[in-house]
Amino acid sequence: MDCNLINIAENAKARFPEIPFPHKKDEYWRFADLNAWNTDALFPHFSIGVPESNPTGKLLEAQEGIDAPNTVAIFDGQGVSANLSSGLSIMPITQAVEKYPNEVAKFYESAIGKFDTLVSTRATGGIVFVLDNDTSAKLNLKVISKLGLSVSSILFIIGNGAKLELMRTFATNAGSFSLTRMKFILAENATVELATFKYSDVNAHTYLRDDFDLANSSTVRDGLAELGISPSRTERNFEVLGNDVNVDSRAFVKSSGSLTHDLRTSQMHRVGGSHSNLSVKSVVGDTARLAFMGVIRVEEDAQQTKAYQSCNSLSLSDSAKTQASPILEIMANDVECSHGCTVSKPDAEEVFYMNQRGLSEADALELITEGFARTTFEHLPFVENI
Amino acid sequence: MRGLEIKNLVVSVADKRVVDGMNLTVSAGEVHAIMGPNGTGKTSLSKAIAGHPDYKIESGEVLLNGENIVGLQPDEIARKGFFLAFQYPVAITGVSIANFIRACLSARLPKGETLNPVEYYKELYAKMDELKIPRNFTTRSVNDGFSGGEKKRCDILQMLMLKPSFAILDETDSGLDIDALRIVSEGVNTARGENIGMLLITHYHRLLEYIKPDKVHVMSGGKIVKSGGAELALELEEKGYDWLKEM
Amino acid sequence: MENPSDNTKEALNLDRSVGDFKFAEDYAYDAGVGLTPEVIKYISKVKEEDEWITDFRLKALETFEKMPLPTHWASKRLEELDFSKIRYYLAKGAKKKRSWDEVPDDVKRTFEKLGVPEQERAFLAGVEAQFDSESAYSNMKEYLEKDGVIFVDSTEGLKKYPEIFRKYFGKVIPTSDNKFSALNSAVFSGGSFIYVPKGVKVQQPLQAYFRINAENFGQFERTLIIADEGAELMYMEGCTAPRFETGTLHSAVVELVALKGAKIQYVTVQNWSDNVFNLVTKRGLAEEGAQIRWVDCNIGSGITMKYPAVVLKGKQAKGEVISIALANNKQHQDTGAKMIHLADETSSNVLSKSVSIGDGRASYRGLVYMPENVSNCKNNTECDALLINSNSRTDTYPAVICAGHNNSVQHEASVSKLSEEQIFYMRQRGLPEADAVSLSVNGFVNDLVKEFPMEYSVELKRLIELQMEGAVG
Repeated sequence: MDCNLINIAENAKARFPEIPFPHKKDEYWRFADLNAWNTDALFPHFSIGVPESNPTGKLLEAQEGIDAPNTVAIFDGQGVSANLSSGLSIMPITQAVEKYPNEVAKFYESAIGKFDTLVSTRATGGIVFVLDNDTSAKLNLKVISKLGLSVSSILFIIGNGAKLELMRTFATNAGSFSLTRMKFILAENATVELATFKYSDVNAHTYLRDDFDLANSSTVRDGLAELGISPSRTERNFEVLGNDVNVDSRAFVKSSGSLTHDLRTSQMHRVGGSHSNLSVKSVVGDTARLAFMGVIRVEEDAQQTKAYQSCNSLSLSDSAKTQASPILEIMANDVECSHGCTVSKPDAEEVFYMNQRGLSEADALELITEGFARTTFEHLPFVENI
Repeated sequence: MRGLEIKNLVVSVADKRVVDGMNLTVSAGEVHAIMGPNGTGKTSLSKAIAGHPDYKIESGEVLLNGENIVGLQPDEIARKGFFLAFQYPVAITGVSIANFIRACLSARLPKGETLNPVEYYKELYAKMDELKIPRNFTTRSVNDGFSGGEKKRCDILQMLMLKPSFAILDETDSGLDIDALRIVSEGVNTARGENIGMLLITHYHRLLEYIKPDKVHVMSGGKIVKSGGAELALELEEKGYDWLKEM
Repeated sequence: MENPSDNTKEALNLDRSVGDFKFAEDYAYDAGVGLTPEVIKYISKVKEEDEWITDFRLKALETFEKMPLPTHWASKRLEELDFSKIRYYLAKGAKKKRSWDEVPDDVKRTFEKLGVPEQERAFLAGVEAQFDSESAYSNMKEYLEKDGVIFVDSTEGLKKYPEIFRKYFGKVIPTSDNKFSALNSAVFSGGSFIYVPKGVKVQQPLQAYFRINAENFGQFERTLIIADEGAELMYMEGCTAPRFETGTLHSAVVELVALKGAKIQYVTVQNWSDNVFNLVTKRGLAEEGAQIRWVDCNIGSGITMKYPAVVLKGKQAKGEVISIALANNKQHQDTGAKMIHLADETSSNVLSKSVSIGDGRASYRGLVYMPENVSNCKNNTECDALLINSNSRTDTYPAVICAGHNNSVQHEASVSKLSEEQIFYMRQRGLPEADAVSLSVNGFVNDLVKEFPMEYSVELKRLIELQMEGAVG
């Protein structure tokens, strides 16, 4: 395996211009035509500029408290502060590559799309977190983007029986294109509890790809809230590589204005006897759009797999659009798999009930949205964070 | 002999012993009852005799009408005349009771012979009348969305149609309402005769108020610990099962 | 119990001998092997077609040649198709027969083996039986003619009723819809043309049997059915084919038009031999208050690609697809449904069940489309897949695109295997394992089988129940 980071970056630079933007004519991209993302910021893709930006509200809040305990802030791909609990260490990828050459090489090899290849062009700037066996740690990770092109790649190597409670906050400022790849490699009996918030300002773009490699008896409990007000593309891949793995992943996506949130998930069961459950809830208003594609794939030898997926979308306006493609590819027979997908409006009776109690239409819809978000994260242990 | 003989039977499930040196003989024409507290191997015994793949017969013999049936496939055992009324019968969606019983009867015919549908329905309807089952019942899918009583009715109808030489009726430990009790007992009393042996598995003696067994056995720790006449059931009702544990 | 999957393969192997026969044939017209403008002109000439049809065909050929195979999302096996080795047109050249007695003996023998017995004709309002490319036999009951119902093959329809035909022909499925609709548009022959006038309700189903009977011979029938305002009809088609040594292509185009308040039911039982590529485009257009229902059962063919569609163009139109697919060893049943909601208060319903046996693969591809300008539309989709063996495969690829006021879409899919407890229960009642498995599979699809019309029970019973259940019943 090639784990020379400079070569990886150079290869990615060479490949990047040749990879076309995902186009909706391609089956796997049939919903989102990302040609709209063909912003000047990308060409030339190494131009660096600092656009005008005056973050407000939640976005501003998200950028505060970067020197708190257990907090690491990453500004435009550079880790700027680290205050970590014991057992958890942070190192630049240039250093980690000596100890974890295979992990690092595999991480970059799996980049085949337009945007993850773009992340690979900055391979030398990656960050690696290592959590020792049988330790547990809390981490607050803030990824703050201000540059025209802000690229981060972060690898988590989580030891046997270790437990990581991670809260991620993405704050992407106006005019910035933020690209982040994270990969979580869970050893046996490892646990990751992950709460993620994404905020972005107008005129920004965000790309996030999360990969999870899951060994025997590892557990992921995951809640993601996409609250940005600029287009996003999120890819989340759960690779079940052992038995007795447990994945519980929820996402809440709120789209308003005219933006598209594009979410793609995969639950790849390579080994049997494991359980994954993925649920997406979205509220789509105005002329916004949710594009969701989720795959459950069960390989031939992955018998006794249980894999479920659901996507429920609530349309708040007539011009809001939901495009969903839940996919099952099942090659083993002793399995329980299902997916469900609904698109609906808020219940008229429910709205009427609230109106009767004196709430305006807008108040009622806000309350319903809140309730919908709340049900997304029910029974997650860290629900209060979200 | 005609009937069922269980000799030194040892059964395990997932490497755990559930029947441990069981001996029991029920002759044709007799009705016996096995009682005992929960988890003493009563249901395991019936599943093992029926040839369920999860219940491994480690040693011993089960003779049905003198023939050892250990190691045979479940359907072979059934066609040799053994019937098991399940404690929790499964639903077979999309397969009507009438079609199902017909398929079961056809499986018992020699190769090349077919069931006469006119005779079949004549007999089916006669049996249904006997059990006071309405005609539309047999168009429903087997056990699909049935109440407890309907499941019993479905099982008893099958038993009367398939005419086994030996039947084990594994009754639920609880939740048998009066309706279900009546159905089971009427069925047993209708089927009762010199050509059939029956073994009732039950937890409460209530069922035995409706069916007078020739013998009552108490099972504990995977074997029979006490046998007696119908009066044993009453004794158990009074004293419970605890006093047997010391035996 | 042994793994039910392993020793039941045998029992579930469909008895293909039912369709495995063929007789030597002599063809008066043969367009030869391969596809060129000359072949197209030859077909058109033999059929004595008007110039506009010849032009239509030639343009379609150009479109076909330009379009790529859809292998970027569909099966790579499509690449096995060698378009230069297929015969695109063969015809007997025999004149139309009006009564059964006049049908040539060898043709009659084929139909008798197929199970189109003479006594069954009493059931049927008209039999349009396609023998290779041309209809060899057509019989219509007097009352149909009296009501003004047209039921002829498409060649005759084009000649005799050009004003109705041309108005709708290629309008529901344009030539360029996909590569295979383009191919069909270039070389089509045979198929049915049906017109039911305003308010006429055809009481008995109209039925056609299709058959391939020459090696390397693709069959490209073209069916166009028009139900005028308030008209109702049911059309039934069944396909069986002899087994050939090399791949055979069947690529039909079926267009339905249901005008205001009309109802069309289109029932298919497909049982081509497993070397046939069955690549079919079926679409219906439903005007205000109209209903279109596709009832589809796919048992045969090596690869089927078929996604019956309903374009709900008028207010309160209804569309429905009922689909059963059985994928046995080496088969890929790639089926599905498309519901295009283009008007308010339209509703659609899709029920799909598939069974994969051995290394068979059943895929569901679906599209539900509700754009921004429609309101109060509903869709419900349910897909259930049953996997029999450990190497069986199933996929579900639905696409939901939903905007607009008060529209709702619901999609559910599940995958399961045979219940071991259920098999044990049945074996305890004396059923051999293979029979128990057959019965269980039959039970799984039973609620959809019931959706097929009684009149079709002969074919269906043969193809599903008898073959699946083996000795049972």
